[in-house]
Amino acid sequence: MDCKICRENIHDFIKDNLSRKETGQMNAHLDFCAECHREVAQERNLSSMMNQWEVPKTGKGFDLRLDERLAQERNRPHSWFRRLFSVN
Amino acid sequence: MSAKRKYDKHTHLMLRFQNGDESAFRSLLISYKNRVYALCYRFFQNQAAAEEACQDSFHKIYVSRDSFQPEGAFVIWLFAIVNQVLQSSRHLGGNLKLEPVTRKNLKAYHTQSIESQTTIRRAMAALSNEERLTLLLDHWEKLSIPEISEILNRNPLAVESILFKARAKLRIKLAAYTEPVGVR
Repeated sequence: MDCKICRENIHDFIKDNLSRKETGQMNAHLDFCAECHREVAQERNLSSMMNQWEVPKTGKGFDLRLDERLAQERNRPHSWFRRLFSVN
Repeated sequence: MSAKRKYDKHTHLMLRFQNGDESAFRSLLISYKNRVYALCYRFFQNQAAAEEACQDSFHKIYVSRDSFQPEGAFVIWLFAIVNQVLQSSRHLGGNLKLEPVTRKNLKAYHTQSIESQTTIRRAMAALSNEERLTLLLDHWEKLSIPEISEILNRNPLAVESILFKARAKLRIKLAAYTEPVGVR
């Protein structure tokens, strides 16, 4: 395996998407290529940094607002007629 | 002879909802609400805009139930709808305020996490909308290239190329954090 193919495969490699044979070829290449080894380490660090990105919870009243909106849709007088005749 | 086709759990729930079972929609909402909200939040980095897009997505799923075709998995249809909602959002391209990382919205607060999370958010915000969404579907939703290409209606090679460029941009912007220490 050369560096070009190795770099094309890095993303799949760190996501464990490669076949056993391809993974073996990647590992063999990484054993002697310091530059690609560094790229793999960088990709792994990037992924772990992305994994740490937390998302705040939805605000108070989110579920209630959604329920009300869906209930309005459910109770719309012509919703079943519209669905029946596929009018959007 | 007719063979009964097997669907995944969520596709099956969606079919039940199409047949009038409201509790099936409730189950889908419980399963996907946090995922859709998280994707919208990371896309806009603004809670109000993310909540609006998440609500619009589930409203659209509710009213468009008849357009769902069980030949495709439910998750693909759902994220294709989320994509449509994001693309038509009034917040897209506007001067939406990126919410800062604060002690309040971090579970594990320490100075280093504030700094690194602020940096990654800025780097993500600097990507194009298409790059950011593709990365969100790939990294956080763990969808495959064919699945993402179906959601975004792009060919798989284009999706691979967008992902490659997006990650390369992030690596450059975040080099100070991702540069390996002690590698040969």
